[in-house]
Amino acid sequence: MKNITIKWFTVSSMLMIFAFSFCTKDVAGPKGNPGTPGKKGNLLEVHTKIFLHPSSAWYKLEFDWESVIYVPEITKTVLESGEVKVYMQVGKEWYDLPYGEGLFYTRCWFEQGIVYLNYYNTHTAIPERPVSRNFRIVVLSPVQ
Amino acid sequence: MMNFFNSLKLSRLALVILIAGMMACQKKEIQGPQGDPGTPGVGGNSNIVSTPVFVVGSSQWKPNADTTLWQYKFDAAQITSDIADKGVVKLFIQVGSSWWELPYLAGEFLMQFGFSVGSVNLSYLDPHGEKLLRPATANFRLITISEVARAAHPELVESNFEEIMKTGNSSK
Repeated sequence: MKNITIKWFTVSSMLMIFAFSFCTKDVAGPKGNPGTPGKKGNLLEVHTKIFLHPSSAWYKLEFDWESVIYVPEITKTVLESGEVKVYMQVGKEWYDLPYGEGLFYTRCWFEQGIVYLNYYNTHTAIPERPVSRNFRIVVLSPVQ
Repeated sequence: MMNFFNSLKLSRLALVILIAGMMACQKKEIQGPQGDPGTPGVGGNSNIVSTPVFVVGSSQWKPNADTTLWQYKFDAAQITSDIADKGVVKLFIQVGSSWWELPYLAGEFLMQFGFSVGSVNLSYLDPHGEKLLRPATANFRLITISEVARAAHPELVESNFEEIMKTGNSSK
């Protein structure tokens, strides 16, 4: 009887050691699958560097001032389905055009490859020549 | 005979212990390493981010001395130096149920904004320099668009002013 008890104890101990030995390895599972690919972007941004637009670049018209900036990135696609943002620096801050200073407005419009700047007085009298200011232009276009 | 029964008991016990041990092991599995990042998306190079709609209360506007100009300056951490120098910042105001992009002109009143790194400066004025009542409380939303992947578009080079601008007597 004593013999059998010893056998039971021995066998069960060995089995427990054997069974629990699986638990002590802590082997990492397989590496996960790669993440899902990034979504296809549909917006392309092109920008000019910040540039000083000198006062001398403005030319006088009958009632206002105008200046031309050539931006080849303004393509037909941009005109038909994109966007052009023209920013002017006033002090340390950037302002989107149109920008109002009292009765005087700086505004812009664009054609293919060209941005027109315009400076005018809402009360018809022509304002003084515009001062030199920093500008920057951002062109956004869709990607097919 | 007695030995036979003992062996049988022994086998059953062994089986029970073995199963119990194996089942206990299932709870000990550890997670494998994270998979590789997905391949980058293709196409555009820009990222657009919008703030949630936020309220600018009427009491938050500060007037100048003669109340011809009201201003409200607020922090905007999403306007990084990269965005301030190269990106797009748009601010929208809700008027009724419609959203209008600033600058917003209503009658003789103009609301516009300037931005610099980390901040936005809203201003509300009458171009004629008349005194203005405090602006009403309104909802706003700020959008930034930044370039995120120029490396994917090496053909795109920043334009230089000297290269793109021709001044003088050109006409429309």
